[in-house]
Amino acid sequence: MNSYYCKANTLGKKLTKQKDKISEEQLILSAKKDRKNFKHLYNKYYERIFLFILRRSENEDLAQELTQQTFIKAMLNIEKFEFKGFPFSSWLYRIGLNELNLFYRDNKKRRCISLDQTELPELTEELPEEVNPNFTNENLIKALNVLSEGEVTLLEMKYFEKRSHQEISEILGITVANAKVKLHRVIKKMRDKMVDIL
Amino acid sequence: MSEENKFNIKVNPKKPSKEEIRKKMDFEGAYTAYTHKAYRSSRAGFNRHSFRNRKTSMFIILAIVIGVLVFVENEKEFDAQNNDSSAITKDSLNNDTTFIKK
Repeated sequence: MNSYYCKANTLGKKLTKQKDKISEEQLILSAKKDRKNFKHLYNKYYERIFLFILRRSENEDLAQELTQQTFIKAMLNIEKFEFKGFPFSSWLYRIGLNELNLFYRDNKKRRCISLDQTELPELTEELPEEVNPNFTNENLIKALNVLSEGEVTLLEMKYFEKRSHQEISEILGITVANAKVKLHRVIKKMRDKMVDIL
Repeated sequence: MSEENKFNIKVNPKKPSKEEIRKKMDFEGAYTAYTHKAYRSSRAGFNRHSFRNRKTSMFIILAIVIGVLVFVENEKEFDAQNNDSSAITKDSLNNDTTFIKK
């Protein structure tokens, strides 16, 4: 009886997921026809995109401006969006990331990184045991300085935002295998730097 | 840039609540901006993709400059040829005594 309920539950979840996908597809199609219908997509995603940009930008005002810019660009280019099995959110994240990069490049400012103590344990697990007892924010910042902006983005997505390899690959437009390899290299680079510091 | 200040690090930043984010974001603002002529004109479209278009526009400008220089050089050469006193003209050919008529 229990297994029956379990199966029914799983099927229900699958159907809900399918329903979500269909409705998202419909929302996109209606937004392509009339941009005023983009409101539904905007309301669905603005919070996630805002937080995504906020943790990479200096303040809330800048995050607000870049998020609006992201949605304007999405409205301008929604005709180009095609269903290739990737969620719409990944496309928005990618536009947001491009907007951030554009902002930092044009204004020649330093890229922002948000470090939250609660998000660090998963990252510290990846570091060698001899590093762990001496793990401090200062050491982490020094280790982050050896990374490029792209490498930091990967690290943020995986360890601070807890995104899956699949999601990271969708946002960055790379394969899952490539995302895994790149992350492995980033961690190795950080480990080496941490060992050097100690 | 020194290794110490490559990134601007924020430690334990304050996260805004859902309500605060909702107040900041409004679709109408984005839609008005989208419909604004600044985004609609072809010039704005070009500017929007200026980074991608920069190489192309530089190439076009370079091609125009080279084209103008080549044209000016050709004109100069043409003028010089026309004004050359030693150049053979129709009259000089008719008066040429060394010309053997059949």
